Amino acid sequence: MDFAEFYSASRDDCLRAVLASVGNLDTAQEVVDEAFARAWVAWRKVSAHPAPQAWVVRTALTAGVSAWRRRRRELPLGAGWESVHPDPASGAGRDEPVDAEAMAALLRLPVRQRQVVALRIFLDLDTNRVADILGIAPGTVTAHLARAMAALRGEFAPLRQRETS
Amino acid sequence: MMNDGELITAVKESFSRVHAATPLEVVVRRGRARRARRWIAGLAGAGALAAGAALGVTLLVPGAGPGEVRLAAWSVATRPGGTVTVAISELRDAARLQRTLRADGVPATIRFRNENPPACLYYPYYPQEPRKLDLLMQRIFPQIGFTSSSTGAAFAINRSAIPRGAGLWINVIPPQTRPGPAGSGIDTVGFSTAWALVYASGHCPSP
Repeated sequence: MDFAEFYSASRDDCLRAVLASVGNLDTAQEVVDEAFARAWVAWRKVSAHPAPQAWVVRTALTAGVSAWRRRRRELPLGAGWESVHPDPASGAGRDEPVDAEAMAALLRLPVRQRQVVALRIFLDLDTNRVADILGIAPGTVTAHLARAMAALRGEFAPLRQRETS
Repeated sequence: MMNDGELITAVKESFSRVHAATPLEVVVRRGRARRARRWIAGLAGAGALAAGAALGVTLLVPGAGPGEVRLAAWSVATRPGGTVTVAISELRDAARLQRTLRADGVPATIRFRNENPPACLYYPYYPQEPRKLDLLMQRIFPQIGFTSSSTGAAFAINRSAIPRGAGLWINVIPPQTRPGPAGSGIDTVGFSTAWALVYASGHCPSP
């Protein structure tokens, strides 16, 4: 698989996994873009990785955000700046692609539980691979996942009932 | 009661409208910029001469040639083809940096403090099409990165991409650490740098 095929096949899942972890679409898109750029640079190594998608997500979650564009956005530049040069990624006026209550439910989870959920659900990784990526024991992954699923069940069940009623 | 399969499906469905918007070519260009950052990082460090020689860039000490100035605080070098590289390690002598860049054909206004450009100076290029503006700025700043100290700013300016009559407002403020979104574990460290297109003349057009 060449990089273009990998990017086409993986970018949505990677973005969703990172979004579920960081909770902000702009931040998620930025760090995923950076991670894919790093994957392009190191494609020979990444393509040989047992789970290249996991490499991208881990890189996105752990890499310091060193991109110019991100630093630029974070400047406290005052009202005039935004009105003259609106940032295309600011999200203003954009339809939110994630249900707000579902996102809020995920964000109420502790960070580590959220990361485990993101890697298990969106990348479909097994326990050992998640443990390897997060640098924790497989048993800890299992415990985090069980707690997260219990918490999410309590949050999502009412949402599902509301949708079907 | 939802079982695990139903719950996983529900979580996945709640994200089903999330799609990555960045085109492949943008990611590849970013990767190329990242790879090229090595030589930008070298500009302000001890390895500058070696990095420059490897890439065919002639790096000289101050006064050794036109278009090349290296100070402790910052350095400017003009590469063959017209690209001007800037590496800033300390926020000192903005006026001289501005003069140096203008002498090299870059109509820049430099500020080393957090200051907005006057609203009347905005250059009205693609005001309603921010994506085009973003792409234009990527052409003007084809390479970005850090200095070897990791906290400094380094970037390259492609003079030929600057629209006729436009100037660059470049604002660099000191290193700072800012927490990212709650729980993200992401911090921003280093100089913050912002830009804007302004009128090169410093005057607004008549309405």
